[in-house]
Amino acid sequence: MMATTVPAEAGETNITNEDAEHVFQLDAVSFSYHGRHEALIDVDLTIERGEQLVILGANGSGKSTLLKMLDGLYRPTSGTIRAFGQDITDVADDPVRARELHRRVGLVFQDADVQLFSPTVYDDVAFGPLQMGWDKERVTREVARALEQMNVTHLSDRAPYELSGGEKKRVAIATVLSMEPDVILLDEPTASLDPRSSAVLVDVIAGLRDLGKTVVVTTHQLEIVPLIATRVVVFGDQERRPVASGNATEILSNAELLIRTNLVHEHLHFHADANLMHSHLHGPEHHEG
Amino acid sequence: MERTGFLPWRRKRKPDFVARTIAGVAEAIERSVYTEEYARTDGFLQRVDPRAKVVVFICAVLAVGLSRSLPVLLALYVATVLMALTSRLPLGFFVKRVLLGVPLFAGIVFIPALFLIHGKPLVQADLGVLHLAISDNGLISLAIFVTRVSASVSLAILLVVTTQWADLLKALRVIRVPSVFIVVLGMTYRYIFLLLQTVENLFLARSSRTVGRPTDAEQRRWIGSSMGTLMGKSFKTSNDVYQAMVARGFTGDVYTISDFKMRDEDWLFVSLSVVLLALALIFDLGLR
Repeated sequence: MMATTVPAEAGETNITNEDAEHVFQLDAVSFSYHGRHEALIDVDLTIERGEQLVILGANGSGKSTLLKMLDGLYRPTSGTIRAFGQDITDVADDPVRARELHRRVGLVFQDADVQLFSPTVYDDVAFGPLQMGWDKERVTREVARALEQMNVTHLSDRAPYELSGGEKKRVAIATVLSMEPDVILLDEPTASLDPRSSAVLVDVIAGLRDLGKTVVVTTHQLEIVPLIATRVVVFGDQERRPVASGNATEILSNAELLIRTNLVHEHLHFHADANLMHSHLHGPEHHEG
Repeated sequence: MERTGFLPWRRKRKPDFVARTIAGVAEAIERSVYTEEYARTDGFLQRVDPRAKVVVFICAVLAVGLSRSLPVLLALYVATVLMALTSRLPLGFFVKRVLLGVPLFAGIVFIPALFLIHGKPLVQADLGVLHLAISDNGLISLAIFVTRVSASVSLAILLVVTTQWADLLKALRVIRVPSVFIVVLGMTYRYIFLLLQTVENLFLARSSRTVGRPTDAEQRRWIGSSMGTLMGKSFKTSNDVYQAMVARGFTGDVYTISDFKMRDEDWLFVSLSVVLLALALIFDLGLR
């Protein structure tokens, strides 16, 4: 049998301050690309353990940038981000602690093709555990578990480019689940999926709560919000910071907020003889005659 | 496209480079997918452990390279064809891939040497100060060269077509190819599909918005801008993929896992092949 090549067993580096109340705490965080385009401006946000947070925002409101910052891939231009009670900039500067941060915080990218870079599904799901320096038995066990949790075991020998959009998304989630993360960040998970694949994925995301994971989902698709969110934070596309927070019912019933943040639009419709200005929300209560 | 009754005077035109590129890209993707299908067929070589195949492939290429007699080289080539047949590869697919390009390419490379090798002249021509002659030794050398190249290329095709790409990459570790090289090779193969699809979409989008036949200058301009767009997209993709790797703990070193198992049949295949190749070389030495 060919020897498995893994790095020397990495010690379980503790980046946790167990006294920390929040998984993430952002204080006045700003970020700009190349010092010019401001993606986030003065963001204050806390994310609690075990919650399923949905970050709602229109295109360009900084949602994807925020997730990459929470995973330590981008550093704030100003302000501080604390992950598990530790300053994320300090953690990212230390390769060993950074690796542990990446293990504990799994990021599922919007474009699954970016995330699935290995020749087969199995190799992709095993990539993270192998980088952690786990032994072969543990890698094999965790990969099998993650594939089973996402119901993609039958795809393990397939090449990623052969998969459908929904299958790619489930495999992408498996690639982070195999690292036993505490937090899973999902960037627009249902974007460009057909309704059925979207529904399957919503069930998968809702199921992550049963696994005890803290889940942060960015989206602009309002219909999935009540199905997965225990809390919703709305990002303004002009402000590039949270402009509202609440439960799904509170947020989705606030038509003025949704229109102002470009999550719905209003326009003129002719309904029989009436000229109605209404937004694209479900239910008659949102019609303004 | 068939001629219509309304435009009887129009001649059928050759498709422009856009149509040709779209067709070429689609064909490349399709060919690759079909090749993977062959690797999943239940044939003889498909059942052999990829590492065993890589070892036998290296030995066979060495034997082909060292052999100097035409009968031995022809026998080795016939052996690869027989292997292809037992691996359920269509003969036409396998032979065409080799015979359409290799003899022509190898022949062109060899043509100057054909006139320089001394021996009994078979064909002669006097072109003023230039005297050209093709000797019997020259022709035999050409035949040996073409057969050697054909056999080597056939072996490479046999290995690639009967082995899934992922398995082939892992099997390369047996000859101590560095992990980073294998991973880069794998990612190149993976993302070349995405880039091919991007190229196809670029050309389709252009084709859908083009009326009439653009001038050559317009086409050149568009090719230039498309190359720039493609480069930008590939650069962005490489950045995104790197971030995705870092997000899963990548720090510069690459680690892979292998679950291959060498069975008794695989060991037998390697042993028999090595013995037969050695016998072929000994026979080759006897013929010199």
